Amino acid sequence: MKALIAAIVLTVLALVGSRRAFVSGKLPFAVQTLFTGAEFILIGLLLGSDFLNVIDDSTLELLRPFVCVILGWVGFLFGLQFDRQTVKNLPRGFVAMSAIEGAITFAAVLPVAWFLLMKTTNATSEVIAVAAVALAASAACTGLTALALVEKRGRPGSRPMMTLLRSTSSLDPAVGVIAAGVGLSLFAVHPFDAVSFPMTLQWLVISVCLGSVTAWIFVSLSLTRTSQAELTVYLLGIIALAGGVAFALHLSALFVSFVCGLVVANLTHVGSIRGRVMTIVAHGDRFLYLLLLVLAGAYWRLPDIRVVFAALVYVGIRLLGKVTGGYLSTRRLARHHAVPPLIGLGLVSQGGMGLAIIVELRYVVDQPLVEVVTSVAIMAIIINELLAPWLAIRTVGRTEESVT
Amino acid sequence: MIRRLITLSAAGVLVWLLLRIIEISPSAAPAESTFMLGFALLSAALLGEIVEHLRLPRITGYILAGILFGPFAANLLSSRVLEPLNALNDMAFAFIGLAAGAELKLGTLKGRWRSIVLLIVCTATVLMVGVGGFFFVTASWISFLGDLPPLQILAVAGMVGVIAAARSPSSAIAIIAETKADGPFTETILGVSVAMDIVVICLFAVATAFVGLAFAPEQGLNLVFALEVTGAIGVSIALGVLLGAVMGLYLKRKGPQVSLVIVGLCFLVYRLSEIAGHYLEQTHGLEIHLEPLLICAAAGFTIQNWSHQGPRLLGAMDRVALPVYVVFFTMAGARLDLGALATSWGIAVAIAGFRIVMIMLGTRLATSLAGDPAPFRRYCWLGFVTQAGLSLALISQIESRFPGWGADLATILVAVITINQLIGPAAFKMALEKVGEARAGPTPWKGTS
Repeated sequence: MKALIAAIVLTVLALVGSRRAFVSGKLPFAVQTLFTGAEFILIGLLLGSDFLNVIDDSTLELLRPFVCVILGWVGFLFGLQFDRQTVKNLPRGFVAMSAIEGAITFAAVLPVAWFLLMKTTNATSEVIAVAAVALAASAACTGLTALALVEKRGRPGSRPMMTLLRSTSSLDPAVGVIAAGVGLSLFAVHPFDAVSFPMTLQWLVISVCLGSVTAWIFVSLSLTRTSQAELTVYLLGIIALAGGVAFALHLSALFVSFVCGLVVANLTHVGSIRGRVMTIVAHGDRFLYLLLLVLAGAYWRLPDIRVVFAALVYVGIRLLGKVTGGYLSTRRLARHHAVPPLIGLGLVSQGGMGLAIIVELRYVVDQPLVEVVTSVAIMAIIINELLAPWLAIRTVGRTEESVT
Repeated sequence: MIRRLITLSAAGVLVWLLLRIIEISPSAAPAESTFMLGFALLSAALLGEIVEHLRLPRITGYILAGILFGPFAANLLSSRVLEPLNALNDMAFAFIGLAAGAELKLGTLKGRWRSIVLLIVCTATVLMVGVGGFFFVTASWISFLGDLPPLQILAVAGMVGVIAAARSPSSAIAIIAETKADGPFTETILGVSVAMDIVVICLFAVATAFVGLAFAPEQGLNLVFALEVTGAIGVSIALGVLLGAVMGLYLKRKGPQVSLVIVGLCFLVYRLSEIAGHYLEQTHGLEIHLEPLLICAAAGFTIQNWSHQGPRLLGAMDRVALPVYVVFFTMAGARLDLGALATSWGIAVAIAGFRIVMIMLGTRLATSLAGDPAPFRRYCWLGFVTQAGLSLALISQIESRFPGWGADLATILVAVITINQLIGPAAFKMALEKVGEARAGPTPWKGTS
């Protein structure tokens, strides 16, 4: 019965949300910042086992195959955006800047998370390692919701700056997805045995091969004049195959599907299959994203005060990483353009990919520590989403000042 | 096509290697179901395309894929793998019901009531009497019936006759969707298939009561079950009309994500029907099993005929229909009990063959009485061969209600349904092509672009 009610509630929320969310109309900016999607995580929390218990653990267990497909879908869509032509059309150096910013954030969060988890928990070093990598990978990701709000406000700042912020937010989740792929390769198939570099490399290569092979299968099967309905069947099939195989091997479904999407985008001609696939994948995107938010909320266990503290530390370190990453990665650009030194403050929103990485960790690594880590990360994501629009508008304002 | 077959083989090798290399842990079982589903979707879609070039309907390809990868061949889609995917199957079943209802347009059916009623009455009567009689006559060759007194065999034969009258609206709607068939013949066959489900459910309830009386005369004729079934049908139709009215409003207000709402709603209807059934049985001792297919068919019919949203509903369903059909019929193929067919193929082939003859007789009689045109009279029987979901559900009722001989009878009947499921879709497609109502001809052989 609970599974049914959960399904009803989830469907209704996702549907209502897919129409209402992120459409704040003429509300004051302060109110708009409260509705950037994080509210769905809170709804999930309310429905979860700590409150109404509508989405309990057994329901979450039942939803596993669907979550696998959702994560595969998210990864595939993300990879699909990286076709040669689109990347080529980006202003020079933006890809490298995004990668550097993401990598610096990752590098800033990883050691701190690792150290704190070592000091405060009694989990095995392998579990700590994978949890720390997932936290750092999630931290590297930036979402677009805060920037969208700023743009909606009507004074989006200088166009090149918004392009820079937008492209960084769109591209840096790749660092997170790749890091998640590496992180889960540490424990593929036989989780929590001794970790070795060759084994990790081996599973990482397997992840890449898996993504590439499934992409090749998809392209080969759909290279004929297939109808949109047939293409949907092949797409669903390949996403389920790639995501399912990744999960069965304890690999990252996000990463494998990302590679699959990336290869599909670059194996096919722009405007042919890629465009049609993009239409299909993007159609269910918002609906699935909101489902992911609600599910993440259901995973969230109400924390004790230490988890709140840990979340604040995580937010702080990530902010530091973003600011440092933003500053260092834009130095070259700053020689010719007005780039504020604190541009990283415009990149605080953690977004859907950051959340997907955490949900995936929860599914793949079934350990008590992961429950705590999930709670820390989700709480931090909510804080970041609340802070992000204010910091973004401040950053854009500074740019305007520098320009004038 | 060869290139695509090689590709699919590569995917098969990938899955096979995976299963060889790793031992799927219990925690990874849902992941196993997911990738097997993915592989089955790809294979079924491709097999569907291949059989289409052999002028067979695509669902035959999907069913074949299910058989090929099911427990009796490659065993990739084992019962363990299929279990976590039951929700998908349930949803698909209800979805097909909705589509069937939405395809029935009162405007077209108006002039066809006489034909429809005659087809239902004539084929049901001829099938029940004919197939039931055939079963009664051949009972002495069926080991588990050999020792029963004639009255009991007659009662069981009556029940077999009722099951023989069952059709498969799900297969019919899939073929109609594939061939984009439209016209009086198509609507008559679909209308009869849906209505026959209701008739068969009622008749089955009565037949069960008589079998109970024949086997335990001291308990008297228990018609409570028949009343419960009739009540369930009435409630199902009423709920369906209500659901249709609500959905009509949603469509009218241009609600978002209509395709996804439909899919979610179908899942909910199935689950709610199950839960309501359990609840009524446990709390009031009533065996009122709501019929999700009927609820959805009534909802679809309501939307199509009493709101102006029929085209919007069909358009939204069309966007997600193919994946739903592929999943449903692939899983149906994987669930076909080839073991049952292997153990009782002789009697099964005989019953299936005799059933077809009876369908021909019944439809001939009905169409002649109704004065239908010649092609209609000639090819009508081809639309009623397929059997699937309802028949299997009724057989499971026999198994649970009559332990002992019920299981043996179920084996034979499942074998009969397996044969009908394999030949029926092709027969119906042929009929649609012969009467000229199939709009989508065979797709030209596709070359690489």
